[in-house]
Amino acid sequence: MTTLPNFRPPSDDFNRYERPGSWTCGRACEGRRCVNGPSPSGRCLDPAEPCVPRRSLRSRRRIFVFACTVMSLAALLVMLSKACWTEVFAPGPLTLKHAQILNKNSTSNRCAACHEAGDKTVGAWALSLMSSSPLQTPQSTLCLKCHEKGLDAVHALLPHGVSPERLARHISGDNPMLLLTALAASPKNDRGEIGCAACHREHHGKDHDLTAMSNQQCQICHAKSFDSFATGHPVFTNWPFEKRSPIVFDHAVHKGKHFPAGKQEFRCQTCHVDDSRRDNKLLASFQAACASCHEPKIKQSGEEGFKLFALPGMNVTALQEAGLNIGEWPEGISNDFDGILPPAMALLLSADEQSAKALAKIPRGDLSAVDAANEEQLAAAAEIALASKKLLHELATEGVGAFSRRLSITASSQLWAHLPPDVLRAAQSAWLPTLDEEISLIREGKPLPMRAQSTSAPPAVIKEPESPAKKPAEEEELLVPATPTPEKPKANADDDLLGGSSEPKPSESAETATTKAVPPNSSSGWQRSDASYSIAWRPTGHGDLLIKAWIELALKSNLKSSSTTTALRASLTKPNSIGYCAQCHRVDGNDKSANLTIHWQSSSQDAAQKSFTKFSHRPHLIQPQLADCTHCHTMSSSAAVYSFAPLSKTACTSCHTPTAAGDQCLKCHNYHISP
Amino acid sequence: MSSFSLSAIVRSAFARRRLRSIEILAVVLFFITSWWWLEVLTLRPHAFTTGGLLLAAVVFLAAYNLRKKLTFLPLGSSATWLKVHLYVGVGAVWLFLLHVSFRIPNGIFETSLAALYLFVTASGLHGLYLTRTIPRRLAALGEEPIWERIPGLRRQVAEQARELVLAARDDSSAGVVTDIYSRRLLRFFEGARGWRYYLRPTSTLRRQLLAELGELKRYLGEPQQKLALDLATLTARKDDLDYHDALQGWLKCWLFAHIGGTYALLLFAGFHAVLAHAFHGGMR
Repeated sequence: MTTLPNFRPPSDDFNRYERPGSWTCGRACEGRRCVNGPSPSGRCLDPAEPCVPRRSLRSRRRIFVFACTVMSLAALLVMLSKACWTEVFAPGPLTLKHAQILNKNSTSNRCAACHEAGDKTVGAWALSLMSSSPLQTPQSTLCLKCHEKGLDAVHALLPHGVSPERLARHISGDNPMLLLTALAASPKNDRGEIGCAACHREHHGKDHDLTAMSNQQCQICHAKSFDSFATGHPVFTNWPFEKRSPIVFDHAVHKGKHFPAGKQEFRCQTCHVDDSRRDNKLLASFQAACASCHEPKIKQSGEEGFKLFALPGMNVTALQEAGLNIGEWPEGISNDFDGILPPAMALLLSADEQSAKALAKIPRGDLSAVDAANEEQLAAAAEIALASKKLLHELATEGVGAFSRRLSITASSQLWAHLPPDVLRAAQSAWLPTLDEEISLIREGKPLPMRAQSTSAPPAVIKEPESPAKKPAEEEELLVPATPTPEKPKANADDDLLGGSSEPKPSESAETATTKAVPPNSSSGWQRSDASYSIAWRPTGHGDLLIKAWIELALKSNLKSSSTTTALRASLTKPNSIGYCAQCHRVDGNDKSANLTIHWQSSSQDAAQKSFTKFSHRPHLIQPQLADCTHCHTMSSSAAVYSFAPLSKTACTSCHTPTAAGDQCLKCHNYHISP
Repeated sequence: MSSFSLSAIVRSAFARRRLRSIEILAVVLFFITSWWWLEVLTLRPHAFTTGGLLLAAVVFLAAYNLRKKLTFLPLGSSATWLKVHLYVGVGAVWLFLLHVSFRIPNGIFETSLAALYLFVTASGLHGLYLTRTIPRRLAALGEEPIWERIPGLRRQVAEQARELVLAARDDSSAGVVTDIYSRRLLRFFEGARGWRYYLRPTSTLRRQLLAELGELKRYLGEPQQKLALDLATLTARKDDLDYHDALQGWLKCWLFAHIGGTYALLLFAGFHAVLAHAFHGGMR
């Protein structure tokens, strides 16, 4: 047999066959080989017997790679065509809600709804790599175009969407993690803002939860980090009572004393009703929850009415002897300095600087304290008398305009509740018939005519007319038949508000005999009392708008005289004040000179408002053992304000474990806080 | 020094180098992973960091082909480049997993890009496997024909077999051998092996043919036995050539997939970087 050659060729052929160029000899498969091989262009260099050179493997690979590159480029260009680029290059399906909203957009600009680059060319995209000049609008700005509702427009992108000052109140201590996270830098920009996309990652499918955040991610910024809700989470100190209830209500006293006395069952559900979604508990209306006990007493407190105007008693003789002429003064109150100016009237009078000074000289506005031997006080009393007449004349002639001017407020206020000018004119006619002439004289700077001194001794007691039916027509216009007024109960915190007191003490005093006693069901409205020379508003009962308006006015600080403000505030907010408003409606603020706020509504928090913590009763009350409110809300005798002990963390950790109800941060806490 | 101890020393030195390289790779990946984890916790756009590193790794990996063309530049030895290429390639797999946050991408383009990357990586790993196993298998055959010369060598073997058979044409007692040549061996010598053989070369046909020739031995006289033996030798030789052809073909052709995919990957990855930067959310 012919000896077969070794597989390894002789060395002079080695390189040519080991590393052929782009072409190999066409005779290689026949075992024949040329001396020089094909030219670089693939031409056989043997003139005698030219072969057909073949491409080497390396050359074929080069061509194949080039073809792959060209095909890839072509594929990219096809993908970039307008017909389909948004669908091809989208990194994944949108969540269902975004997809539904954007579905109505045309395909070409669907991306542009959230990405400014969606409207730009490929060239602009490439340029954005070098600089951000072609793309100006941060994506978060586009997000807020739709999601601005419920967020603070100024602080929406700051941590928690609140101002740094508000956030600083919740930050304390050092977080050791912060040192590590500083290495990775914060997701905030130089203005301290965090982009929406830092937390909300889209394009992860229609069922992706955009709001999902791990506990570790939440704790990166937080002062205290901890392992879990049960381990390390701060204990509850005064929750949920950090935010005070707008309605002051002593549960313990009601449960232990008032409800048993009224033979009523103390049930939480009577007053705490579910909202429409059963997430929160709302307080039942006053009519439903409180009126049966409190309404009669509230109405009773308003029997005497809220005095807007009252002529004080003046010792005209003493004034005349001191050379002070106050002109005409009603006979019934001309004998002695008497009466406390109604605070509302004092406020109206203090609009005039001279009157304000005079008021300041009368201690507590009580004219009975005027010393007839004190010339200064006499002068002040005279000034007050004249000012009162001017006030009455203004109110009778200008009406609402006088209120607006004196109180510096708008004319459309509930403060005078459409006080009929006729009432004031009738009062003027009845009490001071010559007031018009006197005002003219005052304006002209002329002295007032001296009032003739009465020779008869002043009556010791101003008697009440014998029969209500014999009253003058003007007096009876707004009055109702008189009935004895029960003695006003003591200023106890709770007893004052109870209707149908178990210990009624009806009696008459000299003071109350001059006013008209009104039965509990008497009508509301303005009333004029010729006996006390006063005009008063009898409130409708709970929720009276005029009383409400005067209380709000009194709590403002932008009033001219702080003493009159203080007096008005005190008269309307003291424990036994008309309506007893401030006994149940919380007034915020301790500083008497500061702007105070009273809470009229039972819930100061809008259901849509988001705070740092959130809680829904609904999933909890489904469970039978939690349906009883006292399972979590236990009364405590040591609790100073609400009679309930604060909720403890242990009440929650028993169920809120990782494998049970869940203990994620976002289960009980919100990130985006309402402004 | 005995060859055994020398090879043991060489293997030991190589093992130590490999272990050191793996340690370095592990440390680097540990730091990268730690940084990635930190960025995930702090809500940073971690995909930009891992994406940038991954793109840089892919470009570096693709630069190896360029390095092999620029032999005149002092860029380090090809062997060193290859070693770094392997370790960076393996490390890039972990970078890829971090980049996609261990999730399957779900957009058309991104899924294509991920598939392309995985294809290139898989082809590279497959190539690593081939380059580590095939040479040993080929060396076991004893001889090393140059791949480009194998067609010529095959033709020589076929011609030799034909000459042997033609020479025995006049020997009537050799009819059995010539008969088996024309029935079975002619197609084996002259024709190409099927695509299945090149996919996975086996010695099944070789054993069958040799067994058939061996069974004839008791029916043959001495001269015919020599003919059968020569044909068996040529059969074995031809099978060796086919074996070399298949395995060396794998060694040379796997780069078609690997390099072809690499340039497509570079194109797609570069465009992906432009897209990601342009459509990036957050604050700027």
